[in-house]
Amino acid sequence: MTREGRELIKHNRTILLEKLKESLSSVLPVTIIVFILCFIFFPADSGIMLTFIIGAVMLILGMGLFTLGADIAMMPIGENVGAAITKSRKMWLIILASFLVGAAVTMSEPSLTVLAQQVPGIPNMVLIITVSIGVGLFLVFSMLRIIFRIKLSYILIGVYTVIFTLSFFVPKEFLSVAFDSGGVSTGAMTVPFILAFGAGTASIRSDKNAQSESFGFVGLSAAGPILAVLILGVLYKGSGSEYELSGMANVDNTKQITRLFISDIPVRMAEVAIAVLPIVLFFVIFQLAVLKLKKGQVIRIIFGVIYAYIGLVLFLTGANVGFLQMGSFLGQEIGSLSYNWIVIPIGMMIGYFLVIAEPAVHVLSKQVVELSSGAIPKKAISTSLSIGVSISIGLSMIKILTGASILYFVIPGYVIALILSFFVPSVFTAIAIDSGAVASGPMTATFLLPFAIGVCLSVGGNIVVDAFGIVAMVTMTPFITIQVLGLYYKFKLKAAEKEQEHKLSKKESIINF
Amino acid sequence: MGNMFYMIIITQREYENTYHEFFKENGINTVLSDLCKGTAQKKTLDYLGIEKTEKIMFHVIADCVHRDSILKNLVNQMEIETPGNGIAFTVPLESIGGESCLKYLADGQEILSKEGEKMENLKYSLIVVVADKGSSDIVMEAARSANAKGGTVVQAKETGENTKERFFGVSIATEKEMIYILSKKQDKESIMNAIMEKAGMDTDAHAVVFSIPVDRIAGLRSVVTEQ
Repeated sequence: MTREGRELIKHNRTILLEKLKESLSSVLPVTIIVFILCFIFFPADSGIMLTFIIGAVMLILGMGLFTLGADIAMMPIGENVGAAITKSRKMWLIILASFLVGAAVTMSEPSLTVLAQQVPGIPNMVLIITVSIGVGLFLVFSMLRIIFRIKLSYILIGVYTVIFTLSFFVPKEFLSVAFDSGGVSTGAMTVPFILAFGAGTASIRSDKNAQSESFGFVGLSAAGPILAVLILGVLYKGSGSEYELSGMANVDNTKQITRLFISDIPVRMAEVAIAVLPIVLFFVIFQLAVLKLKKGQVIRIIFGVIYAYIGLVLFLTGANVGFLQMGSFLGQEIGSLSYNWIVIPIGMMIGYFLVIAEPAVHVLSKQVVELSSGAIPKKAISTSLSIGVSISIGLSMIKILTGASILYFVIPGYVIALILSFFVPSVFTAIAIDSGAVASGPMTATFLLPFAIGVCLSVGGNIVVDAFGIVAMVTMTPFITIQVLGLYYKFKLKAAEKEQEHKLSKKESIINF
Repeated sequence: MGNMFYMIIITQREYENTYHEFFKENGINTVLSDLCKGTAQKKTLDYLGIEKTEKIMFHVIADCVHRDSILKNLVNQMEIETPGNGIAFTVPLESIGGESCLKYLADGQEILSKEGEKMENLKYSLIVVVADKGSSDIVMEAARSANAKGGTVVQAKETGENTKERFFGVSIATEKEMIYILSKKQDKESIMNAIMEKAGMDTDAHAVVFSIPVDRIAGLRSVVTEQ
């Protein structure tokens, strides 16, 4: 036995410590890269550095608490609600409840408000409502697809054909934001809930597709916003807009840093409270009407919601105060170099390690392990995601440096992904489309996007056209890499089957002991 | 032909890779695994949700030599006796479906037989409870009142032809939980009685319960001390 294994056996077993360790190992890599960049190559202001370090600590604590809360509250709520809806076998209830779940959860998503402010020429409220209706409708589609047994790939081909056709009728200021909206509106709170919702609908089924069809809900829902924003773009013909970069907070002393964090916390508290509200509301309604869970389970869920709430507040505060500035700073510094092509490999490296710091990634990979009975290990999913996001940042940087249209990247990407979907076991297609939405969470919004904006500023590009679109890339590439993983598994399984095949020479008889 | 045994090992999920190494070192090549949940030890920790309950269940077929060496090594190397680390038990096999089946299940084992080993008086029991989803708390509370130490929960679905309902293309099953509880033979009856009384068919849990004789066990220190 290896030494590592022996040490593991002697471990203690409180889950909180375990979760914190997991989040430490998720946040640490990207922190170290930023350290190396700042301490050796790009001299950062010590104020920015200090806020970044405090932010990283908050990220670690926040993620640990949040994933624990997601495990014991968000997921059970989603699963129970999903199961109850399917069990009812009432078509109207399935349609109504799925729509409400999708629309309400999206409407309360904090990043959607941020997105609305960035979309040129459309009133915020109009955008938020349209996008929410989009997600609601697509969640209904996802449910109906399962009930009527339509293959996920066919739906995806249909949806993306419409999306790409529409994209030619939309002003170019709209394109990047529209494609970003899919990843943006499926945020940290929405993703675990909808993932679990899907698992719940599958959990009470006994047919052989049940396992694979518990995925795909999040991914398909992410197409809703893209379609919604594109349709608005055609209708409003919005004029060009200027993106306003929020000014960097200058800090002179440590006390000001404290003030920076303290002043941000109430904002995040309100944000997360609004995000949690519809989920809790759904639970209360379902608990009273149909679920009638036992006392112990309800107490656990209450504690879980509290963990998730505190965790997400810490995480978002850390990300918004600590990481946003650092991302923007690094982007500008690297972009202003004479050999600024170097931003491509650096960006790829950051992307590789950043994606595991997304809280929803842990939720997804855990669910994949559970539903495949451990056949698809966590590591396989997270590595494929890392490679995917790494490629996406590389592509985004190329896009910023060359000023090419997002369509040159997105169309070939989705064409490849959709072709792959015909050769890959359907579980992997469903997991892959979900992974895209999962990978583009708060870390992408608070670090990668500011990084891209920073680079774009230094290069002198148009932020709305060039820097935006990075979220869309992060959403797209995992769709490809996870399917490639599926292809690998398919071949490995075939090889294993071949090995096991041995012909029986004669009819065998039972051996009695 | 020697005696063959069906061995089930339930342990912490994060030990999975270590256990795979362990099986390899102990000459077991075919291992089937399954995910399950342990029942919480303390109520307050359970409410707070911070007790680790995720387990993995390994299924192994072993001859009596391998059975003995594995059980011994589980105690010595894997420290299975430490509370919460896991349990293992074996049930004798009655028959197996042919030579190639044996070759697959007992791959790598030489199937040595200890001549003359008789079926000894089995001292332990595996109590199996099938109850409605979400009622493992009630079942375990009842079982603990009769001195049961802990249990393992496996999610299950009721899929008999009569109970299957269809809704368009989707077949809908009733969700169940199967709870495995290991006990000494003399405790078995009181545990089963407690479950029948407090979580039986006429309660919310709708539990049905039966027991299986178990050959050897490891990891249930409080039960195994006299060995």
